[in-house]
Amino acid sequence: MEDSKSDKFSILLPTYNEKENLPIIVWLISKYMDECGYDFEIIIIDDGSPDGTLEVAQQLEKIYGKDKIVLRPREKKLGLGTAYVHGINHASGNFVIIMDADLSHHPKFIPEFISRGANLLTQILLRPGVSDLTGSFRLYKKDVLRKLVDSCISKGYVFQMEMIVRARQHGYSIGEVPISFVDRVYGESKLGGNEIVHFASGLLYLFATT
Amino acid sequence: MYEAASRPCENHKVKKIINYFTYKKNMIKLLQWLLGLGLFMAAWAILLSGRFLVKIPEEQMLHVWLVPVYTLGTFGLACLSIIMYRVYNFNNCEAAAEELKMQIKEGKEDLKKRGFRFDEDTLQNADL
Repeated sequence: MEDSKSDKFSILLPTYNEKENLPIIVWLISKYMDECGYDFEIIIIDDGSPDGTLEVAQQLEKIYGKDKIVLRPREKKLGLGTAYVHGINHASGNFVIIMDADLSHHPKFIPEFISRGANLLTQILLRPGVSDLTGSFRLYKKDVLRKLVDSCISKGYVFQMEMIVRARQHGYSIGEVPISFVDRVYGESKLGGNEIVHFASGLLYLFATT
Repeated sequence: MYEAASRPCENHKVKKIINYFTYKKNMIKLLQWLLGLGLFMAAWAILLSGRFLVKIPEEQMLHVWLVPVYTLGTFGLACLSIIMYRVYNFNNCEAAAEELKMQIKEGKEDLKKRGFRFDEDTLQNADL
């Protein structure tokens, strides 16, 4: 991205019961993006959290402004893939960043992702493949993300893996940035037992069809 | 971790060919495994039949029958070793955890100044 200053970055935050983490992550995103002078918006897609995450988001909207915090809540849990689609449809940026809202993905790495994007223009291909298939802290070009989400059929966490597989099938360039991942401080993880079964069957599906 | 292309692929046709092979490479994964399995079975069958190349004495034939079991066992042990090695060398990012805790405090203070109201029980949980 040679001309980073005219780019706008839409940061998608799908949330469910993240009322303690949400203010901190919004504060951190705002801090790092403002420090580097990047134009951004944060799109919060709350799936009807019973703990009041939406009220927290509304407070943040008052503090940071409607152009910086875009609230697009949904009535109930409808899944990560559809949350991304919903978010992209309301995104006014040309780049989209997806990340976890539980502070395990630290916003300080976002400027690194963005400056790494400059190298993507010289077509750096990842030959052996990516080192982390299920990580969901990613920067996409908006139309690429839309196309990939449309071509994926998996659900849950396998969906993240399938996105990468499809990206490589379509010949898109993929770059990597090392990050530190601190286990979540507040709230509960949404990863459960049957996710493992899902993961295994999804992996087999990808193995046999791609 | 990655290879930088020394020259960008301007040529569209070259890109198309590379994409085709990348797709094809993914396609062959299952077939690769089946091929490997086929070769293994063929080699095992040769050893079992007692003809061609190696003639194995009767007492050792039991071990020949157990070759798949030995292979799986070795593979299992190798996996276990890799996992134990990785767990032992796991990279804890203590500095990052400390930094995050401090930033959580900082963020809460700043937001309170700007008019954000935290829940009472969040305040009580602030043992960080």
